[in-house]
Amino acid sequence: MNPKDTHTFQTIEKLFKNCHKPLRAYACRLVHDPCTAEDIVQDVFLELWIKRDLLRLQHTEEIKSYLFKAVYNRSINALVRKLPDPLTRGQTLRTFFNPPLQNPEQSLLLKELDEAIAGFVENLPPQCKKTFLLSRSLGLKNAEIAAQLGVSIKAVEKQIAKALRGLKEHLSQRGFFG
Amino acid sequence: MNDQTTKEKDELMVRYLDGSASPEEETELLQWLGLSEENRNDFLRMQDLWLLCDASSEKAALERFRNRMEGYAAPLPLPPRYRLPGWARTAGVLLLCLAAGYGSAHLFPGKKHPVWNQLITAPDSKGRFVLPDGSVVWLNSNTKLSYPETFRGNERRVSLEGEAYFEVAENKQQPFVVDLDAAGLRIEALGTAFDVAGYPTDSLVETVLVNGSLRISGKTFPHDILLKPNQLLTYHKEKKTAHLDKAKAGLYIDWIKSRLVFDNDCLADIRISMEGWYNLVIDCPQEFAQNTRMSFTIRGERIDEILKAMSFIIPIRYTIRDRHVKITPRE
Repeated sequence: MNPKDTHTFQTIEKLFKNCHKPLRAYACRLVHDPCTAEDIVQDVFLELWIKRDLLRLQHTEEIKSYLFKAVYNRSINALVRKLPDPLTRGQTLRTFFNPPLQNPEQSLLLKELDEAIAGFVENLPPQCKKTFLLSRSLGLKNAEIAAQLGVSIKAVEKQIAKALRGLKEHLSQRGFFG
Repeated sequence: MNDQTTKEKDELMVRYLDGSASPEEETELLQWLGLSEENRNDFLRMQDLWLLCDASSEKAALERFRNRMEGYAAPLPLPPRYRLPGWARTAGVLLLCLAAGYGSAHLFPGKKHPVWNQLITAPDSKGRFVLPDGSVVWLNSNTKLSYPETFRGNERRVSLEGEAYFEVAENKQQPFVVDLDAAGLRIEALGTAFDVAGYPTDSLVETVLVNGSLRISGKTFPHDILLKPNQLLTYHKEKKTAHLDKAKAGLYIDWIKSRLVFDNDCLADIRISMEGWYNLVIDCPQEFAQNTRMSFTIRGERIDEILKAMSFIIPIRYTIRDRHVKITPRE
């Protein structure tokens, strides 16, 4: 790889680290399937890499808007492909083209949002925090967490629901998610 | 809505997001979503947070993306078929011999038969190729893939001997099917990334799913097996038994990279990456492998060079016989 490409490689990797989760959440709002959402985000970034010579990657803010737009377009395409027949497409599409978030960057990609989430999780009661981190940081399924902590699955669901609901209220109070 | 109902609804959402909600519960959630815009917004926000907090899938996603970027390291020419990735060309190895379509007219007389192409990699080479439908395939060494020049009919069917990693272009109308004739296995994919290792000389066929979904049917299977991401299906050809396991899928496709980087990884994981990279079988006591961590990078080194270097860092002995490496802890 030449030095210019190596530099671009690192720039794109950094963008991926910063934007992957918000973009995936955004795609999931549209396609309602985490696996399809993951594929869409991967493809958008790969396209960025393939077209690297055509893009001005140093303008990070522009690129971020571009990424959300590209995820939106690909999500709509994925949905259109799933539709059974062309006649119903116009009808169904009208409902899709009402974007679920006016400004996804503002609501999903703020650095302060990340910090607010981390701060909230840090201050959860010990058992609730432990359960939530096993789920979200280590990716364990509810049943696996129950087995590991020696509690019922129901108890795990309760703790995670409590953390998630608390987090949402905490963020609303601070003006996120307006 | 009273407090108790809210709590139950939240727990239902958590079950849905966790993937453990029953079909009845999913219907219940959908009905609740249908009631109001407020409900839908509430759910979408909860799902946002669930995904924004999801640090666990981050590493695998980045790993997969790095692999794909490296696969496209050389600028993509048009048409992209038959081009070798940059690392393969600089390595100076002759990658493949292309028994391309023109010869196959003799094999399939009559105009109606489709023209079949073959991609073959030598014992010391690997390569990335783009199939006619835009799907990308990486072939590990000593591998043969046959595919028609154009995919017609209701399936995209290819036939494999050896190991390949597929990133299938989505097309729900025309599922992508990999045939492993020698093992009597058939793997059907819908918009999916997966790795299949099925060498004719090996007794095991391994299939790992990175993303999407796979349906595997075998002549000896009572019913089809559905594979989820990060699951490994091991099929034993002689015993005709299949075994489903959890696996870190990223490790099984490490061989497509231009280098292997280990950063305080455990030997149990390193072993899997190296097996694919060198295309051989590595045995090591599991408990020792789980508890030994190391950091190093592999570029163009031979297996014996790497094992020797490893034996300086950690207390091991090793033997190499044909395609079998045995690692044992040194007392």
